[in-house]
Amino acid sequence: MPQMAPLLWLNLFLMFSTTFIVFIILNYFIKVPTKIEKSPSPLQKVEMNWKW
Amino acid sequence: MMTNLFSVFDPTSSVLMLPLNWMSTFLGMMFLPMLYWAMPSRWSLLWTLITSTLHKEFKTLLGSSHFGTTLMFVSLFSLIVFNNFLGLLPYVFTSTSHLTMTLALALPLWVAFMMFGWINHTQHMFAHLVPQGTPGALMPFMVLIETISNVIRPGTLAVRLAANMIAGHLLLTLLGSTGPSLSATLISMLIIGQILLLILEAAVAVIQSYVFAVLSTLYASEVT
Repeated sequence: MPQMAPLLWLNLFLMFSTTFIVFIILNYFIKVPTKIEKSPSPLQKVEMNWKW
Repeated sequence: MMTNLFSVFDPTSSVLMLPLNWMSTFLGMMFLPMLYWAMPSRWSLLWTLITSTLHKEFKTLLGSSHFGTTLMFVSLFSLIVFNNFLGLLPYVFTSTSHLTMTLALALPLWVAFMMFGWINHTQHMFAHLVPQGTPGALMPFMVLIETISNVIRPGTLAVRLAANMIAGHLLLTLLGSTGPSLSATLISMLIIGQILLLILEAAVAVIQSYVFAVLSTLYASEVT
């Protein structure tokens, strides 16, 4: 079965680890940080007792 | 010609019988949008949307003290999803269907998390071996069961991905190989069935890569 034949397993492991690291580096440089918009805070209401 | 049922998964190419089919692992790099232009293209906007959704999801799983580590899991997702999805196209080799690749991704991650956890947070790791609320008499068995489930984690991660990819491709090739000997009505039914299977396989490709990334995130968050 092709999956179980030990064709150069160490070389393949190094290649896949390198590919993974390359993907991490690419994703680092691709990512554009987005600004989080803060909604304007409402005016502070001062609570007072209603009395004459 | 189908020499063998599994010949779709053979990495031997026709150029001097060298295993050049593994080069399809690098195909995903051509699909990542590069930041060369000042205005983002539609594909770049879509990719940013997908990765920012994933980053937010993994941030909730990892907790607020480890923000930067979501990069590794999002790029793991991108590597696996491109490999899975492009493998569905004709004549493209699916490198994630081989245990060589999936173990090469799963085993270093798991070993790194285990070594970090056991060397730096030994007591925390021992405490995790007994789930909350087990009765006192059951504790030795729970430790045994949790240790076994911990040890087989890289195996399950790798085998789950590889087996899902193999199953889908095998089903499609099996159905397709009966094509030349069928009548016209049966061929139309076969084509419709294969199209439905292809749609299923596309969904499975994306879902399995997501599951892989999420589970490795969970295993990481257990350690810290």
